[in-house]
Amino acid sequence: MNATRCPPDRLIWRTCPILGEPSSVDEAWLTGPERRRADAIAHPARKTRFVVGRALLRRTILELRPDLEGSALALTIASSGRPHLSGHPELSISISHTRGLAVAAASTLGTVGIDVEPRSRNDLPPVHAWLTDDEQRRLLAQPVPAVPSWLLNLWVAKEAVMKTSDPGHPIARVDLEVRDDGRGGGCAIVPRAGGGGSRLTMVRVRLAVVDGFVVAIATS
Amino acid sequence: VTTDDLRDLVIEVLSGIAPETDPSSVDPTEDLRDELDLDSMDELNLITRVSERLGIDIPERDYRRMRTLDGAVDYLAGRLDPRLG
Repeated sequence: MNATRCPPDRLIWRTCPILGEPSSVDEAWLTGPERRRADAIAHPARKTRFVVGRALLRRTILELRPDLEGSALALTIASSGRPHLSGHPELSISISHTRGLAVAAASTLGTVGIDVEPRSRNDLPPVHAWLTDDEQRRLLAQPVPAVPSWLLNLWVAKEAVMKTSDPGHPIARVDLEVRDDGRGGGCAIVPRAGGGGSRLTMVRVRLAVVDGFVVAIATS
Repeated sequence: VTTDDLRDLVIEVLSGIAPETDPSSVDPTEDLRDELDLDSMDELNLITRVSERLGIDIPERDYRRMRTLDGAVDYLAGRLDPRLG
């Protein structure tokens, strides 16, 4: 492949199970500083998620941009918690992990945000703390059996969207309105009039279910 | 309400959110998300439960001030007695 050719704009996201200890294959993807950081993480599950997540993110980036050199991928984490690939402002990357699964996304289409939660998760915060007034009204219209999944989908969608926002102007969850975009299950996010979300124009969110987990991928 | 009361309250709420951990043993200056392996949902549950117990509203822009045990205690003390904030 010609290393100077500009690849077509696209977005990809990938998943990886998180099982017990990190594998030597995953650890081999880490840079020296990352290995030292992993060794310093006392919480075993958190260490595994860190190693699996970094390895997955690198594999995802290289799948999108096979013209890059794997050993030269310098991942940095901004103070906002958002990952960046040094020297490649045209690439947006995002990562999320939960108990059992890591997900990563890489995009040249714009800013990407990804989030994941187990579908079985049932400890969502009180709705007044993160739903807009309109979302709370729509919640009341949901059939009772559908409420848990409706709420969880909304949660991961909002978390993914928040990762696409300007870190200098964080958006409150109650200022993000999630709506069905009428295009077969996707969601659109629009700002709530007068809210902090007024800096946000429109973010597309796609939801997917993977092996008992719900994943949201947002692009702005 | 003393700062010790507030510390006990935060630790009690954390114990309910992360029952497999020992919140009383965390480094009070370290990020609770790292110390107790909390995620964003746990973090919002902590804030809403503390908010309800104390009867105060905690705006989302202030959530980052609740990320360490010491930070949470200082923030809550300031909210309950603005002369301390």
